[in-house]
Amino acid sequence: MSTPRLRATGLTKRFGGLVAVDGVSLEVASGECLGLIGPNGAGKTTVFALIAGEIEADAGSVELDGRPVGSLAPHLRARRGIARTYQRLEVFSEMTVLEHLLVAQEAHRGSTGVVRDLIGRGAPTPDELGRAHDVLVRVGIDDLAASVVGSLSLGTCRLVELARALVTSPSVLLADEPSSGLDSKETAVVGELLGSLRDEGLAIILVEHDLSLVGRVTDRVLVINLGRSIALGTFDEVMATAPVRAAYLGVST
Amino acid sequence: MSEALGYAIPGIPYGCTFALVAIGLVLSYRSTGVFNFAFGAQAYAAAMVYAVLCSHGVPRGVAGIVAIVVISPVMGLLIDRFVFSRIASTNVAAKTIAAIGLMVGLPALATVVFGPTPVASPPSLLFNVNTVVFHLDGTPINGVQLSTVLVTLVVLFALTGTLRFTSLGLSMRAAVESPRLLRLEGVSSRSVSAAAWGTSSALAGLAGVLVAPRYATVSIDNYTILLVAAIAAAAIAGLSSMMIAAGASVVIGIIMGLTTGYAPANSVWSTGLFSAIPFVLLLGLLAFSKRMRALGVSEDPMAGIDPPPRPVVVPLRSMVLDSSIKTAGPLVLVVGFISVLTWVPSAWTFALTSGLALALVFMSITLVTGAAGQVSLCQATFAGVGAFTAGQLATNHGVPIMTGAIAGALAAAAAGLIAVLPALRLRGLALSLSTLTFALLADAIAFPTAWIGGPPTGLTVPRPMLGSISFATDSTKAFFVLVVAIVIVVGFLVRRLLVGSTGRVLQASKLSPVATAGLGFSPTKTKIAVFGISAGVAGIGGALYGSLLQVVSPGNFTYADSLLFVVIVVTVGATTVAGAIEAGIAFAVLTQVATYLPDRMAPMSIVAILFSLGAFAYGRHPEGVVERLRRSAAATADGVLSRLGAGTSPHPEVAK
Repeated sequence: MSTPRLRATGLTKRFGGLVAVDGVSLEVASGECLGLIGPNGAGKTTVFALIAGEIEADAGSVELDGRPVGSLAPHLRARRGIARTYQRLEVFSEMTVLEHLLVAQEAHRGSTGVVRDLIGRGAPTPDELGRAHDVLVRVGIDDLAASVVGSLSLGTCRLVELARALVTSPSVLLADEPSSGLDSKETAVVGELLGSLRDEGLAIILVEHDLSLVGRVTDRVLVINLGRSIALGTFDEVMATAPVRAAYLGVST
Repeated sequence: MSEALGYAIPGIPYGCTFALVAIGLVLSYRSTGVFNFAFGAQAYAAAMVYAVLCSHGVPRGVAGIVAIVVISPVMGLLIDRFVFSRIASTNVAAKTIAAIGLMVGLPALATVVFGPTPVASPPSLLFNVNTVVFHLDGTPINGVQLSTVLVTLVVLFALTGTLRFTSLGLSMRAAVESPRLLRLEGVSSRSVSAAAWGTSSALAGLAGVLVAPRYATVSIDNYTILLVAAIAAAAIAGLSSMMIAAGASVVIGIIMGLTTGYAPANSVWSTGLFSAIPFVLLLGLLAFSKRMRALGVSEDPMAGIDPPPRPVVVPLRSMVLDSSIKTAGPLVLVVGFISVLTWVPSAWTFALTSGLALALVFMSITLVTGAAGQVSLCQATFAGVGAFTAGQLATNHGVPIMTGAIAGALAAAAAGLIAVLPALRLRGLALSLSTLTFALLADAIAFPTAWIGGPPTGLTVPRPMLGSISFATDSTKAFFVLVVAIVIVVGFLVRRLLVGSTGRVLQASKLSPVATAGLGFSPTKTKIAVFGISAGVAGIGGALYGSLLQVVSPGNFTYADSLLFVVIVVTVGATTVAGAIEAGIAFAVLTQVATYLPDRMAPMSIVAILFSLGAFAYGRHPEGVVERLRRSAAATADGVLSRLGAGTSPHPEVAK
């Protein structure tokens, strides 16, 4: 396997007395999809927030392409190539789908754009519009480009978030339950999309409750429970281990 | 030691009045989620009621009961019922603006009800103002001080007892944890919220009545310090412990007593420093206290079950409206422009010019509030920096006024950067409080300094000369044309920001700060850029406004003006450049109409009340009153047309 694109080591986060994430380590390479699964409250979304920098880790490190990014603000990690979607939707409800993708490219550029606006060059470039269109086609929502996102269904909003993350050409994608709220047909589309993105070299970490989707698209799966890693391996391997069965089914062994 | 005690002891009763308001802030914030910084205005209103009743010979006990136990709680309940409960599910900016509406509207209402003549200070609630009741370690304790301490202690213990030992108290403490869980237990959260509002407003009223006898007249300015000190104390208490808030209030009072005592008498320090302490304290707390930074962010464990925020009115215009505005708008502007140049009386020309100069200040609010969704309460201060810089350069250094105006804009932009520095990590309510503090500091310390705000008689800001063309007094029309030209140029640039990528990214950041940061957007950099530009625009507006008036003083650019400006802009329309210009013209027209009304009707206060009513509607109608009226007029027209069989369908053009 090639060198890991993203490596997190010993991530720990305490909320008061509760240790939400306790020494979780993971790595994902280019062209790999790592599943991150576990029961509700296991700490999956907290791991994402720690990697993206939304919350500060109490211990542990995050490296992107071998370079530490654990002390950077979220927007700087984003500019280095970490993109994510959110379990609890974070869409710009009053803006159109196309605007979401334009904002993503503008935000990713890093400069504030104030000067460009003032000299009358604030309009999106044909290049930006083109890329936005390509991503929308790929995610399958190009017919909704002019729709205001607040009026779309939950499932479609998840696709908008996915498109918004992809339009910045990230090297690592953190996908937080992309299939929740989607019907089975849409889920299949998302599964295929994640698979082909992985094949193109994107490193993906997928948090997902739909285990059949996890089984289809992931190369390896990390299972966490109560903030700790309890198993790592292929999907079939981890699902066969006793601690995972206990965590999911609640049977003691 | 005894000298220190002599200075410290008078601070204690002062601190007690802070404590009453601080407890009210904690109580209402924890049980209703609203950080009501209109408590200062409510305290003032209660003091006015008390003072006016006393002046009409009502016994002070009766007057006190009416003001504190009847009027204040009723006022609180009305505010809850008609202002805050209606916007419970909206964003922080809407709640902040509603509170600002109260800060502007309540004192104006008091002026309209009780008349514009200053009301002389009332007698002390208990004892007598001038009687020294006893000496404490050689320090005389007068009636006001003793009654303040006694009443505060009694109220504190009664309130603690109620919260601890009654079922209502239990519900209120539960509401502090989670109003939603409380509702699931079958307790009406409305009655709990009403109890919290009634109690906290009564506390504010009590503080107002207790403070009133200390000053010669009952004036709103004396209540600002009360509010800021109380906010600082509530911040020290982490907005959760009433006892710590009370203790911190008394400590602030003592520190203020000591600084007043030790500062050299009659210096700018004794007046400025004294009033600045709570502001500096609050600024520090905002910058460094995590709790204050998260102000307005819900900690309710069940917050996740909140319904999603109400969708904002979709910014669509019907086709009829859009096309009629596009044809009629320019026509109205051209007719107006020609009218001013031909037949409009000079008083009206002057008023319209001032409205257009203010429209520039209003555009600065459009940038910060309309585009970035943050409420800045020091935009008039930036305008002041612009005017004073231009005036000082012109008067003392012979710099041409238009060059001075540009320098003023740069100085204002620099002031904007200074104002935003402590607020870099702040957003929402905390940012508003931080900018309010900046405005109050400028009012108390910077602007009264002669080399900034000019001599007490006022600072001369001349009219410009362009070559041989003078824009002096006798040619206000020429100055009008100049201001129109500048408004067009600046408005054009501001509009580019609003509809360009800056506006788009700012809007995204307003809707989801987490996602925008997750895309690579730097909130700090953009905040600095927007504040700097906004302050610069306000600075140009201030310089032109000063040049129109020809003499300015610190009184032209106070924090109260900043509050009023925000209220005006959000009422008329805070999202577009056109809205800012309409706001300027609307304010100019209403102000000019007000001059035809008799003084005893307090016409300017009526104008302020009208605008503050608009601020209450901001949560539901962020597009502003003018746009809303246009739309309802268009809807009516559309209805008539469709009945005639010529209906139109909505036209998906964004109203920008």
